[in-house]
Amino acid sequence: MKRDAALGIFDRDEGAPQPAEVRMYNCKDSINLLLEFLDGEMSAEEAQHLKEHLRGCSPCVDFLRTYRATPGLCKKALASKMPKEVSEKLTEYLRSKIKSAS
Amino acid sequence: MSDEAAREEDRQLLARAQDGDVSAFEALVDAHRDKVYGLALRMTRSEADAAEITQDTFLSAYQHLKDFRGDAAFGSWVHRIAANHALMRLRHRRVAQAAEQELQGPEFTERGSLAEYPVSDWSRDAEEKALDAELGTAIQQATDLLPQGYREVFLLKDVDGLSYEQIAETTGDSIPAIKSRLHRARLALREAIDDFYNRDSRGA
Repeated sequence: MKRDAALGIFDRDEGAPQPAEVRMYNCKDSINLLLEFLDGEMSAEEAQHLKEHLRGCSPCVDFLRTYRATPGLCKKALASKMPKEVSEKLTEYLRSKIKSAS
Repeated sequence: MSDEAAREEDRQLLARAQDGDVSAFEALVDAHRDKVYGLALRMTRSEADAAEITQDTFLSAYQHLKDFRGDAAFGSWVHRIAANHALMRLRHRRVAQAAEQELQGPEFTERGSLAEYPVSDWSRDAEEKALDAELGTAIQQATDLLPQGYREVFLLKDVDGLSYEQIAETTGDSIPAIKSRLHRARLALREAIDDFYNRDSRGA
């Protein structure tokens, strides 16, 4: 198991609710909660269960890391710049519209 | 220029533009045109549509300059206008909808475990290296394959940085529905990137 301090996987949440009967999360449960987990929008109890699962599940930690990296990679891949001729047309268009409006 | 410095410059330009200074408005257009065009191009996948949406967006912004109170950043405001224009155009188009079940996700055992399926951690490699051109193409193709509702949400949230509330306002969808589609889209794209990194080991 690799350490991931940023995810708090190794930090026990002192004071988090400890229900009498804890249902262990499986990988599917954990992966279904990744969006809420990364948005910081989970109840303390759910976060605790998820971290419990991650502490013992190396594939899920790797999955979480790659899930978290996905948006940034896609943003890089999908970046685009306006072509020069389109940019010139835009300026021309707006100037003519602004002029006719004033 | 830092984000905060850019926002401050926008605020000053906006104040001048609202007082009728056309050159200040043109400077705002210069600062935001690439992002607006990029959003429109990603959403519509058409250069002609993207160019028209960019024109419509800045014309709308100019026509409503006086109404803009500056509660949000100018950039966020024009992003939302662009998203609205792009969505209107898409809704008028009859885009073939991919079925929801076509979205790929991770495979689990019957007991909901990943244990029998290999998961590799390529996140550090992805963050540290410049984007591989082939990977860029793979991501673009995978994004194109997402059903339209999923693509819209993913692009608006993860690529263009709109908040859930702004997306809900723009699309008319509920926040839980938006989050659910975003999660499914991220899983499908993560799968495509994972396939790219593991294609050699999988004999692809």
